Amino acid sequence: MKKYFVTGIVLSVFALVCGLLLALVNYVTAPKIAEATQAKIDNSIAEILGVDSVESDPFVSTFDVQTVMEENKEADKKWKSTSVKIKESYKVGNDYVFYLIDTKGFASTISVMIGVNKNGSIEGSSVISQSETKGNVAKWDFKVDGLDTINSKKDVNMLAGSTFSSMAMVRAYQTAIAAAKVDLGGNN
Amino acid sequence: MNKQNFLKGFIKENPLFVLLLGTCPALAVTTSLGNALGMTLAFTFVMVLSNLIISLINASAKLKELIAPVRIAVYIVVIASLVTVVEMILHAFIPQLYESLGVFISLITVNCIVLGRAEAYASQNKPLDSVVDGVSMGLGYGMALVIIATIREVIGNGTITLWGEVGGSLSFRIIPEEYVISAFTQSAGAFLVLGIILAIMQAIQNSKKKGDK
Repeated sequence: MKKYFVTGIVLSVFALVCGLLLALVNYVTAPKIAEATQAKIDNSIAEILGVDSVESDPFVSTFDVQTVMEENKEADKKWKSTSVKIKESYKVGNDYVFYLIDTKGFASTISVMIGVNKNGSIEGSSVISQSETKGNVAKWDFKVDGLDTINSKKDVNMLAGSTFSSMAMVRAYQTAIAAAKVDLGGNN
Repeated sequence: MNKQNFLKGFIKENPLFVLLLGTCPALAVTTSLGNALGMTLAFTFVMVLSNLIISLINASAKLKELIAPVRIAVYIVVIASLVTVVEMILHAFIPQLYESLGVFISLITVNCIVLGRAEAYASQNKPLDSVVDGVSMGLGYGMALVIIATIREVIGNGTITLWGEVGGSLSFRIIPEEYVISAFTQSAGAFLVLGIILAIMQAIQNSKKKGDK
């Protein structure tokens, strides 16, 4: 019995020492990691806006995606299989709001950054990551800039044969437009 | 410490080409030379420090006896902590490499070479010899990664990337784009290259044996 107790103590001591080491390294690296992550977000936003650099402020969106999904369930059957999540939100001054949205496609979760301007129309978007079936979606370059309503997959200009991926993008754009109305505080 | 101990990881006991350990990350990260060099640095760092720490733990007879029933768990805690340290440092200071190597940095924890050397060598040898063994195995594994990555990148992409992204400032085109065989950057190409290298090594070994007879 004593042997097991001692063994447990020894293992705990090793775990504690390693834990302290990790805490120390985390203390040093965490600010750098946060800085690098923010720089990556800013670059992505700057690319969408077509400017050299931009400083964005992260904020917590008050928009409730679940409510909208519930509201649209009956009206639009396609919302039934929707899985959209606003992962991060950023404001650029009082003119733009950007959302990093995860939306469930056919074979993967598509991560897309969507910018909406103060008029409530899409300023631009950029797909950050996706692993959809190769060939089905020939292009991830959507002609949605300037639109303030998106109703169907035709609006996102994707190719035929990619219904799920297209609907995933439609839902992401719809969510961004609806969220911007709430987060930009009635500017539109 | 001797020359033999240092050189064994490169040819005689090469972890990848001879012992066939750590093949999964070797096939996955060798899409570019830059990735292979980055993985070599991360792997050698973990290898050297884990060998050193485990050797120091076992240097004390009392501590060795105390950890005996849970030694593998202790080794894994040490190795996992070192890998996490490497992961955090890369994420903070070389984010490009961190993203490029992805999950394979974390997977160094379960790489058989690290735990294998800890149990088979570091736990039974002096700290300095263990460090040399770590350097030898780390660089030997790295050499294997570099060879595979160079072949795959040159044939599959037509470039040599010393650091960063393929197509970046330290990436040089040596074969025109229209002559590349892109299958070499895919998994099939990785298996093919590793298979051919293993066959060549086996052929050399066989001819040596025949020569001895």
